[in-house]
Amino acid sequence: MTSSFDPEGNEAATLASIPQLTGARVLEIGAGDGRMTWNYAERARFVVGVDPDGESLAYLLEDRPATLRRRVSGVVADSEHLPFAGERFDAAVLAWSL
Amino acid sequence: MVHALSEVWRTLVPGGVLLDIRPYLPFRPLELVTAPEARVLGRLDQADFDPGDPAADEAVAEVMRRDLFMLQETGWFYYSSYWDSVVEMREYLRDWDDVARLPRRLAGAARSALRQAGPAARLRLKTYVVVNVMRKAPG
Repeated sequence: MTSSFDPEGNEAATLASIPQLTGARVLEIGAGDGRMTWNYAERARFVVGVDPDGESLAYLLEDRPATLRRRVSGVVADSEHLPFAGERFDAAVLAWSL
Repeated sequence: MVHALSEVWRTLVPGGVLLDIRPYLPFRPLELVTAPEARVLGRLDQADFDPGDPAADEAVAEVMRRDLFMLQETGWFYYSSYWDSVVEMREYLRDWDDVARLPRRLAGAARSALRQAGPAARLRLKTYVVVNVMRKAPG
């Protein structure tokens, strides 16, 4: 049994078309297992993935390629209580999470 | 939702960008795909609601009224999910059971269609995904 999601690459293409993520300090809310993260993380300065589901975030951290281990991190939190000081990120991504 | 958007606003630098990416339900009809063709099998049972997510749309409108964010552009794309069995599709839909369910008759039709179409056939469900690009307004 197999399943596949967005094999057409529409989500990846859309994220690739957003120049503001290049070189940016990115906060991704609802990052989950990183499905969306891996489409842009290579060109971001760093990415902090936030999700209330620690199990999903564990997958995100485990799946990090070696080149991104220092640039992609995860924090268990909900979107209404973000544990960050103000004005820290250049871009925020609400990943199917609003 | 407004509080979450306000939290995002707080963490962004002046002029920072917010990408709001989310599905615009309802799901499109369930299809059987046997490359290069696709045929409609039927619709899921879906909650009776306005298309999209009016609560999220209203939250976005509210933070713009409060001059927290300015909408720069809106786009959309199709997001497709494929399965080669009804069992897997049901598993996926568990995450959506508050808004969409696979009716028993459609599940039967899908199983039958998969059997008849052969091993290369897949079930496909598509949804629009909207992308709002917003910029943090000066505080």
